[in-house]
Amino acid sequence: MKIVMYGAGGPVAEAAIAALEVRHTLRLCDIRPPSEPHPSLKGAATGNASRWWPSRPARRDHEFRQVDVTNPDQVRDAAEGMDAIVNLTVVRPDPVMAFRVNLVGAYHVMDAAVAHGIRRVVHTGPEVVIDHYWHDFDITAEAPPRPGTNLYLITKYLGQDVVRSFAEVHGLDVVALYFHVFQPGDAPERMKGASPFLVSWADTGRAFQAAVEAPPMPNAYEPFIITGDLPHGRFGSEKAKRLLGWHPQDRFEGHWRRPAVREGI
Amino acid sequence: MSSTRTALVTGAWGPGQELAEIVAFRLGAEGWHIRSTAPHRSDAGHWADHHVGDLRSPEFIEALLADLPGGGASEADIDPAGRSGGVIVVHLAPLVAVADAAIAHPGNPAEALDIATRGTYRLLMGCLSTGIGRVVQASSLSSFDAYEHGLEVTEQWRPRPGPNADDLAPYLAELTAREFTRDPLVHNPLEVTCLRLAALRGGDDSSRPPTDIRAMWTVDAARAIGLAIAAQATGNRGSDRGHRWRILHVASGAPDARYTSAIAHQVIGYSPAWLDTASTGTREGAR
Repeated sequence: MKIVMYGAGGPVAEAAIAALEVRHTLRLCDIRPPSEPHPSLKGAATGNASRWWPSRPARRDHEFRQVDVTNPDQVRDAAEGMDAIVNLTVVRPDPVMAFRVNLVGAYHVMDAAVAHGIRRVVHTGPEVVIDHYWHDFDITAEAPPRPGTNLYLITKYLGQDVVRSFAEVHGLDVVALYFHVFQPGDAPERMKGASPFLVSWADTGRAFQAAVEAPPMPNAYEPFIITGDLPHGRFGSEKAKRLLGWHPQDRFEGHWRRPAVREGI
Repeated sequence: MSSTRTALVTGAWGPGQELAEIVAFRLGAEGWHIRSTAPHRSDAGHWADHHVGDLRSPEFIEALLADLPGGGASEADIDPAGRSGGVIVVHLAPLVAVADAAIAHPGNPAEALDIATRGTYRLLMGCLSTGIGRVVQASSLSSFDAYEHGLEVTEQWRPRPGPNADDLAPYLAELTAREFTRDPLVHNPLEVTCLRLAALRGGDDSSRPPTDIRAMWTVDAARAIGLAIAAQATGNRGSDRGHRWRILHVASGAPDARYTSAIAHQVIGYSPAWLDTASTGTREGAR
């Protein structure tokens, strides 16, 4: 399958590429050229950050195009001849670009899908169900989004609604993967402040592979919570298992044990 | 500024010009000071306190809100009981975002989404930081046109905007504003009444409903806005079950109108002007 990936320069993309490059032909697009490292890999933090990044055991070269997702012509050109789209573009703190990338960019990507007759689009974004369901359990991807006024969450939420509109009106087949926290599967401790909505890099990659290869979805816009099988009972991946055939393998079991048990006291 | 009540009217330009003028005229007659704003300069309109600028600019927002009553207060200093005071925002800008984009970004209608949402976000952030607590926002009923013609679509139906800027710009501005009414991390959430309006038709013949069943007279939209402002000012929360976000559908009220205004009639007392003068119409016949 020929897949165009927007926002291919970040760590989630690296995990996705690691899984997809085994069987598929990739056209990678990003606003930064490959020669320019991702911001999280610059400067003094390079050592820690590079250890934290996903690995690509089957690494090989791919076509690259420098694409600004806010430019509709560039986005559309990059989708030509492709069978599927993976959109990983995101801007978090910038008060201007968060809207332009997360919302207007999503519009351009979906417009490109329609223009080239590409039905399978893998859209991505953050969970928007944590803060406002803080005291709830058994939360599914169908829970009404509650982004609040947080810049990052609200702009991605608005982008989701744009994608959904395109999908429903044009009969597309959108798989929307919602993430929260990523860690290497062998991370000894949980990230400080992390909610029990956590997935390993390897399982993240497998989620993209499943999302691209899965049979048609029941709904034009089908959202999924992508989390490992964690014991808390707050967020579940049952739907992803059922519809995508995705089964997370990393459970981070050591993260949830009492210190005394971890240390064998 | 001698008036103790101020209405900030956004989108007072282009396709929003007539609606803004009627709203301003009526509020002015009731003693409100009107401050208006628009993305582009216009020869039309006679605004006394008019500011041309981009709502997406934090600097413009700061200047726009700075000397309004309540302006300059920090969010932490604002008494919730005082927030219903003398300032209201009549946010019409989402209705003119597409026209704005056509000028600012010709050939790229998707820019209207940025204009509508980021402008709303910045404006409402400014409201939070300056203590302005009440907003009446205009949106569009076009997000429901996808439903089968014969269905009685009400506020209880999910919007189904088409993937185009005309539908998405006002709809996404709604979603943006709604979060400002219910974010538990916001110290004093806003109170927003969102009026989804039928397609606006200007002109003088408002003695009868427009022939287009999806349309309404602009004077009636202005009337609904005035009623929504009055309802907020009097603390009439209607049947909103404690929510600070209220949404009302406002249409022509004609018997064959595509969209019903029944809830707006019930909650804020909306009825179209043509019913007051129509020789054959009856109030019971309005939808």
